Parts: sequence; structure tokens; C-alpha cells
Amino acid sequence: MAVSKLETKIKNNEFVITAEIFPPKGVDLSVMFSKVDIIKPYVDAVNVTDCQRAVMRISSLAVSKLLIDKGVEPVYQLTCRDRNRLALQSDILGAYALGVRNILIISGDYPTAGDHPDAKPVYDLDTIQLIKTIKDMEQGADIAGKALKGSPSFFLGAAINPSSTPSELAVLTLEKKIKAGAQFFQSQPIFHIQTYLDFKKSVLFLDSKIIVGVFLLKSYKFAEYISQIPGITIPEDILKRLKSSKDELKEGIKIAGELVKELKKHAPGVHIMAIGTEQYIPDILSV
Amino acid sequence: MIITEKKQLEDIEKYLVKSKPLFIVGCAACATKCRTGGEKEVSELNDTLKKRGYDVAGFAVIDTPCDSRIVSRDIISKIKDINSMQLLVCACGSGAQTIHEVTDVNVVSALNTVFIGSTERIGKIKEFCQACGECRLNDNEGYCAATRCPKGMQNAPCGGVVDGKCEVNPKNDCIWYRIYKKKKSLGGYKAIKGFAKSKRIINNK
Repeated sequence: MAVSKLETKIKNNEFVITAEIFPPKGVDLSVMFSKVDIIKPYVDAVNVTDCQRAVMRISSLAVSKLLIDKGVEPVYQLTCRDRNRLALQSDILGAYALGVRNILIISGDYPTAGDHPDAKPVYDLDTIQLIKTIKDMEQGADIAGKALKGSPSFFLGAAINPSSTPSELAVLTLEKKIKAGAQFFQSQPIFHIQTYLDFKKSVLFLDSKIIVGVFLLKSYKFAEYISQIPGITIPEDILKRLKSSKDELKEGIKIAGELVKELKKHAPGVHIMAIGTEQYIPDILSV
Repeated sequence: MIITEKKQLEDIEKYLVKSKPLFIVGCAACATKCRTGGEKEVSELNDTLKKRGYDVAGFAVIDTPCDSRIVSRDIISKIKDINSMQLLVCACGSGAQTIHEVTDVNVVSALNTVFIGSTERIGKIKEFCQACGECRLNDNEGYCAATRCPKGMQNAPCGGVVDGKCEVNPKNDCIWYRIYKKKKSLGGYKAIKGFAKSKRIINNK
């Protein structure tokens, strides 16, 4: 396969929808696959996380390949946290050989956040260096300057957090990632369309394609819990809306659905995060 | 300065024997400043171990244990009957290992070496340098992004910076926030936009 569906749609300015799955801690993938089956009809690609929250889970590369076998297009997430430049380049070549075309480079949650807090944090390459590394490999050489026997070609993505402050730092990060070769972005979740519009305004000088994160807040308690996660900022009025509603789940679906509707007018796509609530994705999309 | 911390006494005693006389060696440099291996600490250790039944033959703070010539001159050749003794070292890992290099007697470390640090005040010491051999302080307005960013981000912050604070250690400023503030104040926004190549790892020599 030459070019991914995600890349084709984005380049044609067609609105895209992505979602994510978390590989399990073990080799029993049945529950994971049942979630994939639920979301498959509604999304263009599915992100496969790489030991997110620094919790050891089955390899995102292996699961990406298994998704391809099931006819689902993955976005292979790869962090800088666990692998040195040898392993990173090696896995990247392997990913291409296995049919992976969408790759998302992220720094990765620090080991102290997870269940193996004494794990050695590698960070041999940072995100911008790794993005550049992939671009170099696409041109036919590894970063030691040695020629490759066959070069990979990816739709190369990186992450961006529009709620990161001061915002000048987020703009700097975006600019450097684009300069290094990032072709698309997926963002941390936002909860108001204005957050995206303000951010978009500040980066108008950059040609950036940001697939915007939208979170399904299934309850007020859940919202409180996930607001502890680095990179996720939930505004007070959203929390109030949930708390004061009669049916918190229904309200959460409404909040997400309204945001998706707005984003359809302004953004190239949405990335729906419905952890443990994948069955409500169709409801979000039909608000 | 190389920052050291005292090991727990139980962890040290596992390696000592009561049957051999004991000589305590301290360090006049970093360990003295850290209050882990100076005259006062070595003298206190002498008192403590004597009370616990060890035959402490003596103690000395030398300048410095991380130099094999100094160790040979000031400890090995100075102490009578050294070959019948055991040595307890209040110095960093470099000092302790240097002593191991120049004698065959049992050498026990009393300290844990933590990092190369900067002291703000007593009890507030931070890791500032990781001795990478490829210093980029001049490019980064005097902030080491490798050491003071937990993820060692060389080009830009990670997405976790909120209100300028680090996502891993929220009490700390994001070091890129500091670099950016300084660059902004020196009118050097352009300077922050270069591409920082990955570092060599000099341990691999």
C-alpha cells in the first residue's frame, strides 16, 4: 500500500475522524478487538498507544500490524521514552515492512508516572530529532549517514497541546516540529471551540493540519479524575455542566457532540477519546 | 559539586567485620561541603562505631580521595599495619573506587553518590549537570535542557508544560519556559529556533 487513507483524506481536505485503543497488559487481545469492531465503521484510522501513562502494555507495533490484518488502518504511536536511536530506527523500518503508514511521534509519559517507576528513561532522541530522523530515513539514510537498502515512507505525525501555557511555547514546538518534517498533528483534548480557534489564530503563519482531540466525559467523577492527567485541562464551566445535569453520560455525549459539530467547520479532523465508552461514539457523531 | 548522602548504618555494617581494626577516610572537598565526609562527620562516625564495638584505629580527612597519588601518600603509606585493617570511606563513588584501586584490604563505602549539584541552601540541592562532555549552556541561555528537563528535550518543551511548570515535577519550572523567558528578554527569539542535534553519549568511549 502506497499512501494511507488518512493521508489521502487530509490532503484532499476531507474531514477525518480518528479514535484510539490501548493495547492490554498481556496477550489476551479479545476485549481490545471487540472495541476495535465497535469503532471501525466510524473512523478513518485508529491510534495504537505505546505504553501510555508509562504503564507496560503489549507492543504498539505488534498491535498496529494486527489491526492491519483486520482491515483497520492504524496510527502507530511511538514514544522517545523507551528506545535508543538503534531501536527506534529499527522499529521504524519494521513498521514500514509490516504495512504501517501512519506514525505519531510523542515524547511519552515519564516512567515515574507509571507502574515501572524505576525504569530507565531513554530519551536518546527527542521528538524533534526523531521526526527529523524519520525524514532522513525516507531520503535513504540512517542518522549515522549509512545508506538504507530500501527506504520507508510515512504519513508523519506529532502531538500538540493547544492548552499548554505559555502559548508561545506551544507555537514554538509546533513550528519546530513542522520544520523537522511533521505532516499532521493530533492534539490533546479541548473542551471549547474557542480554545482551538485561539490556537489556530496564533499559528496561522504555519501550514498545520491538526486533528483535534475530543474527550467523552462520561461522568463528573470521571472528569475530575482525568483532569489530573498531564496535558488535560477541563474548564470549570464544563465540570459544572456535568455536575448539575440529570444524566451525566448524556450530557457528556452532548458536550462532545457539540464540539465535534463546531470542529467540522474549522478543523481538518477530530480525534475521539472515548475510553471504555467506545460504544457511544456513534451517539457523539450524531448529536 | 558532587553531592553525596549518608548510607544507613545497618547497610554499612553488613560489610564490616568486628575482628579487624577500622580506619575511617573522609574527603576535604565535596563530601566536606555536603556534611557527609568532613572532619565533623568522620569524627562522629568514629564515636558511633566505637560505641558499637568496632576497634577504630583512627580517621583522616584527605584532599582528595579521588586522587590515587594522594591516597597512596596520605593513607596507604602512612598507616602502620594497614594490611590487617579495613577502611571505611566517606567520599563519593570516584573517591571510594580510587581507594579500592590502590589497596587490597576491605574498603567499605559509607556514602551514596547522588548527582552533580548546585546548592541553593541547606536541604535544597538540585541536579544541574550530567557531565555529558558536550555542553550547550551557551545555546540555551545557561540552562541545561538535558539535565533539568526530565525528558532531556533538546529542541522544545514537551506538551505537558502548563503555566510554565514541568509535567513530571510540577513544583519546578519547565526549563524551556526559563530558556524562552530569558531569550525573550534578551530579544533573541530567533536564536531559539535552531535545530539541536542529538548528543553523543561519551560513556561509550
